[in-house]
Amino acid sequence: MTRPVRIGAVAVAGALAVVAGLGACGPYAQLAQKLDVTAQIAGDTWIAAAGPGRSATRILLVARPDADGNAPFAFSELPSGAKVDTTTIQGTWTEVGSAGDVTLHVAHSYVLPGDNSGARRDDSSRTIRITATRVGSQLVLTGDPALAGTYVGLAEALRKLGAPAQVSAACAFLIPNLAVMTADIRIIGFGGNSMYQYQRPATFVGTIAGSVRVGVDISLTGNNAHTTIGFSGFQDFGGVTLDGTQVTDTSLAANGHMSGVLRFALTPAAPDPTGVSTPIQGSIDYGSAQPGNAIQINNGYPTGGSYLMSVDGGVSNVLVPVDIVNTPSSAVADCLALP
Amino acid sequence: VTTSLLLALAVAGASPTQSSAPALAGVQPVPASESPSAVPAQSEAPALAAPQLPAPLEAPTETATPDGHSGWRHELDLGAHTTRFSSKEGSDYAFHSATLGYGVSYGLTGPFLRIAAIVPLQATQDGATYATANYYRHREGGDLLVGVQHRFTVRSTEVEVGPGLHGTFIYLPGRAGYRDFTALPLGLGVGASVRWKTSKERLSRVVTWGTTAGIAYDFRDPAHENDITHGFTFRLAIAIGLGARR
Repeated sequence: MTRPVRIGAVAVAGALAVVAGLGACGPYAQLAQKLDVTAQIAGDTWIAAAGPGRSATRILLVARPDADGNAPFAFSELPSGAKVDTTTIQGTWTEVGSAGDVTLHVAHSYVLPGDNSGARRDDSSRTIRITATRVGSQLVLTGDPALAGTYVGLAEALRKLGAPAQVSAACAFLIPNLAVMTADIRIIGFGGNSMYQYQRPATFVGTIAGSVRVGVDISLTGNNAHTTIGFSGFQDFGGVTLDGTQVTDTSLAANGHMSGVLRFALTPAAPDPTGVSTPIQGSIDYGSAQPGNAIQINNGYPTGGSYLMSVDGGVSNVLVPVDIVNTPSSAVADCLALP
Repeated sequence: VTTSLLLALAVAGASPTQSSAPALAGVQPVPASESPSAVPAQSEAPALAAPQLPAPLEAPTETATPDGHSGWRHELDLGAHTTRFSSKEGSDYAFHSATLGYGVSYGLTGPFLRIAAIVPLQATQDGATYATANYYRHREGGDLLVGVQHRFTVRSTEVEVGPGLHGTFIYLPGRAGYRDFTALPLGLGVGASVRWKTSKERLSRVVTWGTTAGIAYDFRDPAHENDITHGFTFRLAIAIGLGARR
């Protein structure tokens, strides 16, 4: 799931492949396809655990509806484990009547395949019909297995992390990493040889705020690629903000290591309507402070090393082994006590 | 009698050893460069003309075949190129390009190579048409057809045709905010050229003009996980070139 680890390696391999005409760039691109079509929205973020053993995380962002009941939405399916497909859909959420009948008009479908063929987007429209039922502070979706679940507000769920001193290093990594994952899904070509295109850096907006900028420097003669993914006030869903840069240096055979530091801020709901919530802030170091423990990349996948985690007012320089993203688990659901 | 004698000696002259050893004493060899004009004179001197016939064997190899189809052909061409293909994901693509090409072939039956730089001007996907200049910074590509050809004459025109391996490469780096597009359809094709001689000569060769065309069936794209189900490429160009030696 640590796509930042994959990006540089794949980009390098991609560069060589494109130049040599031998590699796989994934399926044909769409003609005249814009890299970023996300329109920033403001709304409520919901999160649910799904899949076998609650090993997948579903995140739903729904904006406030207009007078006709239409609201932009974004939905992401984020399974845990190595080499899994992650997906996002964007479109319009239309709720009619009081029975919770919802029609989702999907405008963009993204997939980041686990096979290194690269993230891609399908702009053909389709419709999904579901039923949304609000039960207390929960949102229950039924009618389509791909979206069904019992959702809770993410800001509410973040309160389950507790005070900064109570946040474990694993949870401090996993929750911000959800935003890293949703960002990667929308970077067309990410995880595949088409990363070659970002020799001309490109910027993608966060669904709520901020942006992420992707750039690749490739040297065929030097047998290396240097990939940077810079987050700036990046919010793809409510409650999680990223700043900083992930750096990946690999050989053209997609072997190498990561560095860079991401700062994160997790903003739980205020304990009462008049209160002010205190963000949980911290950092994920991919290998800058302790190069000996840097995330190692083999054939484009993270296979070794550790994330160096720190939480302001909490854990400091705690190593979280890379296995945390390679093993399917309910860790995210457990951190947030999702139903 | 003269004709019979000439034929007999001509057969005898087909042997290099015989031609290098004069059959009739006292006959002076005629330089090869003079041989064409010397033949009528030989017919007027029946007994002495025959030894001069081996001269054609010393002429340039390229004119040795009965129809004059041997040797190299070089051509530059300017034309149009269209490639269409369908993806396994269900999209149909077409690219219409201008081309500047070079072709070379050798022998009555021999190898040929046709290579062209292409500039995709217009593209379509699933019925939507795009002027490539509006979305891509550069429009680059190439087309290659390499195989074996055979030459023959149709009404004093040299025709060359043969099968070969085909490949088209398209590289469209996107403008800011747009995704790159690449394609590398590969397949099998047939190339053909028709050429006419002109009265001009360059580098001791006849200047020719004509047309060249290629058609191919494409079915592989190793650069895109073979996301191609099938495709067709067609190229047609006007060519100017150098033909056989004078």
